[in-house]
Amino acid sequence: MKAIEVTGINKSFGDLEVLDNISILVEKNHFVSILGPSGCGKSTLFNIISGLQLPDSGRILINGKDFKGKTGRISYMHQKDLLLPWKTVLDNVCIPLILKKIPLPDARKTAVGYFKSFGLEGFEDAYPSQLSGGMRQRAALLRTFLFASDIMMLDEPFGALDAITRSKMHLWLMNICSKYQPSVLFITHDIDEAILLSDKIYLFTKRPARIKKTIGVNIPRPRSQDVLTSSQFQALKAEVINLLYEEAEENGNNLGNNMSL
Amino acid sequence: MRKKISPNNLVPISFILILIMFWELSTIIWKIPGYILPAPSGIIKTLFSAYSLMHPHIIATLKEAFIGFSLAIILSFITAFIMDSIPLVKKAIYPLIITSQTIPIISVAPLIIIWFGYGILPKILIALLVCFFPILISLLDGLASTDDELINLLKSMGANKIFIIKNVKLPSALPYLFSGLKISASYSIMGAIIGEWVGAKEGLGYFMILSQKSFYIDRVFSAIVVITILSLLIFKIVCILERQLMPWQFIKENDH
Ligand SMILES: Nc1ncnc2c1ncn2[C@@H]1O[C@H](COP(=O)(O)OP(=O)(O)O)[C@@H](O)[C@H]1O
Ligand SMILES: [Mg+2]
Repeated sequence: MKAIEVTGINKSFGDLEVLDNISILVEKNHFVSILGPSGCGKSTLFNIISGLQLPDSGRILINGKDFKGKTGRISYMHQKDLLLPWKTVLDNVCIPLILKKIPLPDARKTAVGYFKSFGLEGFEDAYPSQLSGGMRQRAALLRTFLFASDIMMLDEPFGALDAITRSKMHLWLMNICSKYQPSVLFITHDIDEAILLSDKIYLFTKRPARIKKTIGVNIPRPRSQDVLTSSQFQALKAEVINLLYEEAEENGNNLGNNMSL
Repeated sequence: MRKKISPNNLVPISFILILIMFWELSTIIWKIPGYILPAPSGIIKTLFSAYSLMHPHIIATLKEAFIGFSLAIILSFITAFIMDSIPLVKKAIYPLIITSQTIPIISVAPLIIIWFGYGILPKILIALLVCFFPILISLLDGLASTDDELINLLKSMGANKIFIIKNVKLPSALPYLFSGLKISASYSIMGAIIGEWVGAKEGLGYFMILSQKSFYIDRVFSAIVVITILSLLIFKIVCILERQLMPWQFIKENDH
């Protein structure tokens, strides 16, 4: 079963060519990452898949149905938590349910059921400003999850977190994924993060983004932090880094810029 | 609810008390006659003795200020939402609004009295005029301050315009709105009094002119005290409303 299948996506903003013939496949229940330098067009691709923007050409199929230019099917989470400061955590995560015309009391009841798994228990009535960065991202993820739990797109959700919080979030996210089995398309520019979380990685070039390589990650699950030091992990990481070297040489650019993706 | 005087308030309060004491003493030391500058104690005394005289005027002024202020809120909301949703309208009107603020209200007040007579209407209009612009401008800034990414996210979840106005635009404009409301709250009393000053049959402005003409300088000062108290009161009410309507703004960060 194919959760997300996009084929031959091209997109330019005026003279600025951003996406060049991008094709991506997310199998059902798989975790797929897009790894690419910032500014290459990853978020633009997400906007197109979510229906907020139209591609110049290409097809977007979600569960086999055409969704080009149509919003409201897949949930989408940004690097910024984008929680409403004036709503409590509970009412924030209820927003997608309210938008689906579910009455507030029912929405709250449904949402509260997930607070424990999402590490938010006891913070139902807190305002976002009272939460730590990690909790805010988990709340944003719960909101995303309540919108559509089967297919989610996460755009650098942990990019703004410190390293320790981020690695805790990785373990937690893997837990959530094994529990609820969503299909996930994940954007990152962190090589370790991509390998640790994914079943498959699409390595993007600099703008205009093309797919440089598709890398399968066959490290068995459940994965723990120990995976990071395994030989399989190191081999994959070496492969990714080599590809980035190649990129850098092709472009005649100094390596420093490209390594810091 | 009793509150202790915080050290923050202590400084200005003691400063004011010292000033008043200095004033009281100087009227005694230099024997300043009451019809030039009454002593604070005299003003307080008059405030009580002449209160029944002032009462109907206070009510009249409050009524004008309150109606003007309320109408200003309603009108500025309507105008702000129209201007915010139609960029062309905003482009056309915004500079005009800013420019209009350079015209002193006192120069317009007589015209308004000429056009609308000596009743309550011109005072309400003047209060409305002085209150309208601070609210409108703060609302416009507030509405323009909303995060586009946030709106996009909600749109991608299927939110319509009304949902976004209610849940994003309005709440994010509230802090701006209240900074405008606080300015306008004190302006509203001033606006009503300017209107009365130019021509009226009742109100604190009228009472002041009457007292001044009869050399009841202590009454003029008592009226000033009342005006100050009323303005502060309205200001305080706005502050209380602010806390009630925006609990998230007054929460301690990370208090877990
Ligand atoms: N709406 C837009 N109009 C014009 N240029 C845009 C627009 N959105 C993104 N871009 C440009 O497209 C490029 C890719 O942006 P983005 O997709 O956000 O990159 P990434 O998410 O990979 O960092 C950037 O150079 C950005 O400036
Ligand atoms: Mg991005």
